[in-house]
Amino acid sequence: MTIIDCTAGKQAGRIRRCWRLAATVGLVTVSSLAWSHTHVIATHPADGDVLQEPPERIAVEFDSPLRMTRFEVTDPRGTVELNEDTIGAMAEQHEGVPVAPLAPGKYRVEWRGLTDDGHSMSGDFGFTIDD
Amino acid sequence: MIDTLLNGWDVWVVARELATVGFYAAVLMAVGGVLFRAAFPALPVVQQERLVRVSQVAAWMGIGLALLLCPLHAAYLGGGSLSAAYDSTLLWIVLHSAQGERLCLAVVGLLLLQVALIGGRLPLLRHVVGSLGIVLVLVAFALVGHTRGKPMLSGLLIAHLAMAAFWLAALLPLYRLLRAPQGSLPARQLQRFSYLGAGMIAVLLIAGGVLAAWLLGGRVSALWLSAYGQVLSLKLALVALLLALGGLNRWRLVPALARGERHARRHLRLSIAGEGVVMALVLFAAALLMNAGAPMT
Repeated sequence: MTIIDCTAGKQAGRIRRCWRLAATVGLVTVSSLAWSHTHVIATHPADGDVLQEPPERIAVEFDSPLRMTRFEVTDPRGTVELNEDTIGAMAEQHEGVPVAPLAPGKYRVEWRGLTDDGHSMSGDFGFTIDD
Repeated sequence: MIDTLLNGWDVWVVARELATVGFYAAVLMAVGGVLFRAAFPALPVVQQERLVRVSQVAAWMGIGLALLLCPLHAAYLGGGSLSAAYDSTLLWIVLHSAQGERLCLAVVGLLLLQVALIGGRLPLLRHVVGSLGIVLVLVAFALVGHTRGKPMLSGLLIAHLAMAAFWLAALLPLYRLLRAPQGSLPARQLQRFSYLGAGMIAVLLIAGGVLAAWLLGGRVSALWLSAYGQVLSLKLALVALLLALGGLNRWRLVPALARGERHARRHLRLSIAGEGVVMALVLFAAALLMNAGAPMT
């Protein structure tokens, strides 16, 4: 009887240890699932916006830091000159302010960057300024 | 699926992906060559020498491709142009990123693992240095992407890659063994590989399966609803084909060869060549997965 109890106790201990290990593995996995990669959360102006006034700034925002390596605004006449944040700095937002007010027309913004985990990302968005 | 994956591809992206596939193949071949040599010390001397040569060439190709990948990453980040490929700011960004860490660590590892391949004195020291090289190369892979900063997942990826490397590097020496003159075929070596293969495949599948489940966010439907899942499904189908060929070898062709059946040697050689082709496609699928965001969130 004692022997049986003792074995049962050891087995219960082993089962508890297994559950503890499983719970630890589960928690680590679940916490990993909660960790996300970089995504665009907003652009300014928003993609497809039709504006009555030229925007004061052009920006893209991310949910985690990204190292922006290229941020180019173009219209049919060519590249728009910007005063922009430093290229290559790790940030959750990259912003450029046009040197001169933008003329009416269609604009395209193209960007590329590198996330903290080494993934390279790219994207674009567009907006129109009405006459 | 293809449209989604190829969205935003230009000549620089194609060049980078091809260099990445080559880098994976070369690095896995070099790592696998050292592991295979350690697991099969009784290989005929000629085969050992060839294995060493192939592993050394693979290691140097891996180093060359790692150096090439730096300007290719810079070219992509700069908008896809030749001037961006040698832009000092962009190169600095690449070298100080996770990609740069991976490439530097892989180069150091590829240099060190070759110490295990050279002959001479101090065999224990050579093997320790070579093993350190293998660890560095495999850890380098875990520094980029979804496994970065996650020790458990990194461990799974390292185990998965080590097994894949062993399998990849084994194909050429096994194929060559089967081309050796009749009667000189070490059937024991083939059987040993078959038995080792069972454990190796178990580790490969368990590690790969857990990683895939995590990357898909635990949703089976992501296998067909997301571009990432669709390429992963393709990779899984190719792996299933590899397993089918491995099973055919183990349970049908190797025993037939041991019994001295006619054509068994040719069939086994064809099957191993087929494994090589499928393995190349698996590497290509792995490189495509790099270009797609995993639906884990």
